[in-house]
Amino acid sequence: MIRDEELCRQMQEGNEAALEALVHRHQQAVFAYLYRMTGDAHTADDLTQESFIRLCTRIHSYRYPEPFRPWLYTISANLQKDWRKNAYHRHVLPQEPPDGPSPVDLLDRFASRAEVVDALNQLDDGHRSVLYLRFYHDLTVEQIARVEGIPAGTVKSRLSTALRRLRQYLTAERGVQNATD
Amino acid sequence: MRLTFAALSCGYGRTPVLTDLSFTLRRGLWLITGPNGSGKSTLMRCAVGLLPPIAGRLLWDGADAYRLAERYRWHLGYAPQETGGSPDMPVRAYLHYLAALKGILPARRAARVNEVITIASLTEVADRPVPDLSGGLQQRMGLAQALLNDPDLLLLDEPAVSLDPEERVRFRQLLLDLSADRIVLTATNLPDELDGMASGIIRLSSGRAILTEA
Amino acid sequence: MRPTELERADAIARDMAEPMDAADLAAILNRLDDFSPAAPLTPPGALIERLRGRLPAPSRQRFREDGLSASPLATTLQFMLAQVWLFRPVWWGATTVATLIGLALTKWVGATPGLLVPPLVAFSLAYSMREAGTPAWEVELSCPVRPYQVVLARALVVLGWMTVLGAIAGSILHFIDGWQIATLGDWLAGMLLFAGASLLGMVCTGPRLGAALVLAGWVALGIRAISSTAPLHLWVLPNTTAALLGAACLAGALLMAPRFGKSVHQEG
Repeated sequence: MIRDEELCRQMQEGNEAALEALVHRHQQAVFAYLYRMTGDAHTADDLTQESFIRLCTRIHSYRYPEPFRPWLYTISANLQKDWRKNAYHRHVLPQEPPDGPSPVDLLDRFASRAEVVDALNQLDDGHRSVLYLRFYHDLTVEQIARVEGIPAGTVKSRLSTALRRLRQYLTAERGVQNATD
Repeated sequence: MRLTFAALSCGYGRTPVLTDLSFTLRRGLWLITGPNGSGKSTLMRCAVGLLPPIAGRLLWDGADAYRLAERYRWHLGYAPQETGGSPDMPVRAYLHYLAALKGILPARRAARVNEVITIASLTEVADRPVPDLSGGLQQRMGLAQALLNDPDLLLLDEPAVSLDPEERVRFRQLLLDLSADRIVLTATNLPDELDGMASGIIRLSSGRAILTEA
Repeated sequence: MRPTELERADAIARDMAEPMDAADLAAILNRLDDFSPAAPLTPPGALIERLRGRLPAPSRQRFREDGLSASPLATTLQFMLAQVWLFRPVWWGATTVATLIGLALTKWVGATPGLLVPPLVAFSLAYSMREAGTPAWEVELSCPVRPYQVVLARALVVLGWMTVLGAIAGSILHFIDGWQIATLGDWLAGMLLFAGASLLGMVCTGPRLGAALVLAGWVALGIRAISSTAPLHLWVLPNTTAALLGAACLAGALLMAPRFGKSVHQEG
């Protein structure tokens, strides 16, 4: 399989097939990151498209063999930060698709997701972004440091803080739920 | 991208052939004209960095080109007026060799060599030894090697002198295409052929140069 | 818990500034799995269509990045390997044949194999620098190479091949006549001495004249050795001294490499 970095070089030569390959490989992941950060599917979709547009227009600035994924996530992270700066947005709960499991299962799963999303909502953007990039997208500490523009040590401490707060919140939630059941 | 001659004097040894050259070239086609012996090739060699300046400076994007040394030469491609001295190897092999000198990685060389062979219309003679080529073909060979690294600055010394009239027409169009996104500086004894296309003409006379922009 | 969940938790734990209970961590990570977004609203095909035409024209930066991103050692090695192509089959064949003829002469005349070195080295270096002063040399110097890299690379090809020939010659003589491998020392010392002298002469006077001067010196030494009725040893210096002097001349030639091939150009 051709590496992402080699596809980038081919994009620099105007190779549209290389661009197609990168879109197929990474669109879902970029959307997932932006969806988790913004909480809104339409916003995430728009920002995903904008991420790839910027990828195309800035492909000249890519320096082989710099790792591609952190470069792409830097573009996406900056886009969502700009979006966030422009307006105050409340974190919107993700909606389930209309067809799927039974209403009871749906409620259970939805409730579980809602808890997690609420818990994540307690974290500030910097902690959430670090957690998402590490857990959902398997970036290394050094790569996350590059994307966020922070030292590696700060990445580690944000990751610790995010997970510790999540534990506190989810444990508290379970305690409240158990008490009300 | 810009090439600036900043009060530059150049020549051989300490004897200047050209003095006080002061002008800046940007994207486009620039002609150097003048009678035989006026210093066209000297100016070319100076721009390539083969002749150190006797006075003044040559600047590439504001930086001293002689100080940049090989970092400046990454940006340029040069075809001298004379041909000759090429080793006894096929055109394709010689272009591979020069591509290696220009730092093009092995993985890219074959494709790039094929591209310049096509651009310079050398496909039919690609496997012939370079010394066996006619004058016109050797000049096309010179253009091909100058284009290998897709340079920002293309320096061609009398590139069309051995071409037949039909080839010269094609060559004029090629120069126009190339100058759309790079600096093409070409010394020519036939300025009228390119006059209407050029961004400017540098006229050499009595060791001085006057740039007239279009 | 599935082993993979613990492995995942371990991997995350290694990246945390403060430790956390492994089971707690794994449980949280399991909960995070619940937060899985649906597919993007825009299908990939539609996104690709929107992106078409946005790619810029092929970048010429790539060639510079290729070269500039390589280490100086890698670049020099690339130049050196490329120089091998300049040595055509006629040279490899002629030097091999000359060595074999010289071996035969050595056996009959009783001279040291080092006798062969000066003409081999001088002719070979003159051959390697045959384009100095020509338009082809100008083309090479317009590339992002330094003159000393070109001279050094070609000298190394010559010296490397001469060393191989010397090792072959010495081995043949060892098996035929019991010659000591130490005769290779004569070969190597002479090679360095005459290579250095040749290159220095070429830098100062041009390839042909430089090689001719060295050969003239070799002939003069040979005549002197014969006329003195001493054994036909050409070396007036001990091997170590000859080698060091040769290396010094080589270094001098490399320092003066930018002068190589300067000639009066016809004004255009």
